[in-house]
Amino acid sequence: MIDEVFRRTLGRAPTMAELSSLQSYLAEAGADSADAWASVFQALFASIDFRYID
Amino acid sequence: MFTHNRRSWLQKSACGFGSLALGSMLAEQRATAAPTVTHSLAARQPMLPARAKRVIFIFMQGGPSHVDSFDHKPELINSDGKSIDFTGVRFGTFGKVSQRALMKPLWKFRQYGDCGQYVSELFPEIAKHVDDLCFLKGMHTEGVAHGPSTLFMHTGATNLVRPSFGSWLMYGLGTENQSLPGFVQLQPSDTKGGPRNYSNAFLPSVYQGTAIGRASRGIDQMTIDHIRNPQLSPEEAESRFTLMQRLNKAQVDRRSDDDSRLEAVIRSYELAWRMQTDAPAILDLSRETDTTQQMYGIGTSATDAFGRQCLMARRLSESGVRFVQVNYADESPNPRWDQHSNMPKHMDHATATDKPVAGLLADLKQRGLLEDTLVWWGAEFGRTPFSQSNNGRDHNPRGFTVFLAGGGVKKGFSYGATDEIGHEAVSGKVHMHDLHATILHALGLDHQQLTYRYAGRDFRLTDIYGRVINEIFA
Repeated sequence: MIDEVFRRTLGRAPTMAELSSLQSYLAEAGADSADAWASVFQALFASIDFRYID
Repeated sequence: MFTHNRRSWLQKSACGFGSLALGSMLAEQRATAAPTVTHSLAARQPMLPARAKRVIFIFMQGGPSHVDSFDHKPELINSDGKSIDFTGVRFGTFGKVSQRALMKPLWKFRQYGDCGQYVSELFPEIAKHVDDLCFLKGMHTEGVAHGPSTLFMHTGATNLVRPSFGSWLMYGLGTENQSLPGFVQLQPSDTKGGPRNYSNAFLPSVYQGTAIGRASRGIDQMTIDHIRNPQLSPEEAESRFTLMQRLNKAQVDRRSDDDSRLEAVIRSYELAWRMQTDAPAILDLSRETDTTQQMYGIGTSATDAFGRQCLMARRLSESGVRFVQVNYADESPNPRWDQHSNMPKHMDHATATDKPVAGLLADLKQRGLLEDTLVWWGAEFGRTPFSQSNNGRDHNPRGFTVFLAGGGVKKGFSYGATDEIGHEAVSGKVHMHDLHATILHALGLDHQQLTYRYAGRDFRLTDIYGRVINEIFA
């Protein structure tokens, strides 16, 4: 699922560091919770790779 | 699995050639650009002994008339209506001689304080503080229109993209409060250069100015938008913030270039996060007593808006913000003080600002802040002693007045003069470059040493000009 989310927002697979950050976030916030996923999307939209192009 | 992502593919493919070249050019530039300096908001020791730690600049957008306010010219009163030859007047007569009729000030002057400084009826409240003020009456500057002159006043250049005064100050000194921006603009105008007036230009992005409110918005909108998310609990907000910064850090780490702009994004998020805790309380003027609010004219319709700006400036300065600019500004083609016709309108602007500025001076003084805060009141230029459109005055970059207070400048002092009618600075001349050099000096920065290497050469706020006016320091 995280892989799918990255491909849809950033057009690439997550790195190991990104994958583990998100996995531990979801483990804590509850992977079934819509709020947690909303946070994941918000974080991705606010992230540097989404907002800035070279 | 992809072996290339979108970004690296673009960089590595032929289409990404431009990006590669730019990347290596940027890297070279950085390699030669003072590599030992770490750019941050952390407070730094000045190069020289400093008299002032911070600046409050009160910008009177449009250019108040000096001959109607602080520059008393009896000869102009005597010669009212007389037509004389001027050269270099604007609008089709540039460089040629043209006849213009002198117009005496519309307001009466009288002397105030022990120093005997003349002030007109426009500023009866500021007049009470003349023994604390240092007037520069031989100011001159570049540009004859608002756009170039306003940019010049802020950046030392009329038409090029150059860092703002506040950004240079941040570059030299950092700031004292890490939970607030160090360079703040209150209600700035989007016109006459707009955000370029508070831009860091080629200086690292951490030194850019932060606008609180906009000239186009009401004073009740002098806030930092969306500083808190009302839908999230502090715990949720924190965990979301941490997640985002982890992603940002991972994304910056996997890039081969190290772009200071991306670091600045991460740091600005961090600053925004810290601001959530401290800024709302500092921006809350209702924490001030009624007496203090009244000093600034808050609660009285004519002075309320500017009074709030001035009080906000004090609260920010007191909290350690390095450079605060208070803007009496709007978004119109003819800014507020720009009375090409209808000079009597000056009285409205004077009324709106006189008491708030006087309140700020008194309040800084009573709190001991005037000792190490330098207050600068002024505009991009002054106005002509001759009339325009019957009862107006044109722009005058050749002679005008600003005043300074606090920060180790002489009190009850006046430096420089215009000619007999107030048209041109003739003695004790202070160019805008000189004023910049002098204010930097007060803060312990040598304008000739405060350089930044960009595009192959060193740049300064004062370009190759600037003279520190040592005569005005106590």
